[in-house]
Amino acid sequence: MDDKLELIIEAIIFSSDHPVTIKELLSVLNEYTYKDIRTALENLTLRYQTLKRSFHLVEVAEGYQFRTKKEFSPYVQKLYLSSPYKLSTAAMETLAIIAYRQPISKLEIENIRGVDCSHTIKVLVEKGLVRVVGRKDIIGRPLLYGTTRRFLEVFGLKDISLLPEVEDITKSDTSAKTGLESKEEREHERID
Amino acid sequence: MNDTKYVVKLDEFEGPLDLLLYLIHKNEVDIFDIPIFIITQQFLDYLDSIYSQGLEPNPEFLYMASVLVHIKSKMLIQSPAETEEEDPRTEIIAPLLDYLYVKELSKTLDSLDMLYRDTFPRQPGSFLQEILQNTEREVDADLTRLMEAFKRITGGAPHVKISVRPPKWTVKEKFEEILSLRNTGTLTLGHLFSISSCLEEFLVFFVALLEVIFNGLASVCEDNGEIEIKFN
Repeated sequence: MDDKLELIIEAIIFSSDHPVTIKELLSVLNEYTYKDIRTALENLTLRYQTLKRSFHLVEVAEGYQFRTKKEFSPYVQKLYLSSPYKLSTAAMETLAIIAYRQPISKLEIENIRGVDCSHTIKVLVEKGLVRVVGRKDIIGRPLLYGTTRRFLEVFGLKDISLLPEVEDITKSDTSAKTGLESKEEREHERID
Repeated sequence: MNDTKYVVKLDEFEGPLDLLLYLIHKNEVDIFDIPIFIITQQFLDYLDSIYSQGLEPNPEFLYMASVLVHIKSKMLIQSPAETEEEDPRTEIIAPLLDYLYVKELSKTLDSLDMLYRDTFPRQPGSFLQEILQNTEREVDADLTRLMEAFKRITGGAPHVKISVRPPKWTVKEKFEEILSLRNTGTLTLGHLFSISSCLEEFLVFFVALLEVIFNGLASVCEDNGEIEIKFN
């Protein structure tokens, strides 16, 4: 194991203002291979996990960054923000639709939510979480929206394929009632 | 009385589907067997409560109300024996289920560690930010940014009356012209604007520039708000 490499990488990530990519590390560490760096990063990640400190090393948007752990957020937040950074229910729902069903047009989003979403989409674009990714090849050529790299950074995702899977209650279980009850309850009913 | 309009977020509901789901849940009924009479009544009661506060419900709520009433009337005329016919309620079940699923997706997304809410990175020092701002950075260019730059530059240009006539400038000409400027030092989008006689000419320049970039002959950078054209 190359301790020196781990320390060099640690220093670079520590001093960076953005998630550091392996590509960036490679560009300054000519004498090491991709595999060396990858291994060192994995070891470093593991090391911080076992250290039990208030922060850890996470892989986001294809880069590595030190981030504080969730349990300390109330304290850290107080220092930087007057009010917690959060998204409204409308924004979160719209973002979820775009994230899971991208690329998607405004009309398609509105059909799902049953309400006008122009303002919400505008807010999400301003926040840099979604962007126009193209146009749909139908009459009117409506704009299609998708998530950005910033989205991955904000939600701590390495890439979009790592969005947590959600069981589709509407397809997997047609005997579902409102879907608001617990799974056990539904299973119990089926047995009855 | 003054005419100031207050935007009140009175609806705890994101929309008609959200309200419907709430009613279904509250009445503890099956989403596949909605008691349409009860639910429609409660839905209309909710709209009444909005009216009674001197407000107008969103049109989406009115539309859903009409859908519900329509389903209700269809069910009234449908005799129970005719099981062949499709249940009129099917119309709202699919969107409800889809919305329910989206709520689930939204909850999942919300449960992730969100930057500046649940987790914080190291903050760059102000000195570092200054240095970074002064260095040129490749534009994370997309169409919207380019369009914004175009609007910013042309903001002061006089309004041009459009009439159809043979084009004075062609993209091909301007393409060559841009390339001929490659040895005249720093070339910026602002410079192209200043050598254009009118908005129309600049427009052709702009399209030609996109063509130049598309052909890989140059790239654009943003430096202190100036769009710089760099030849390869």
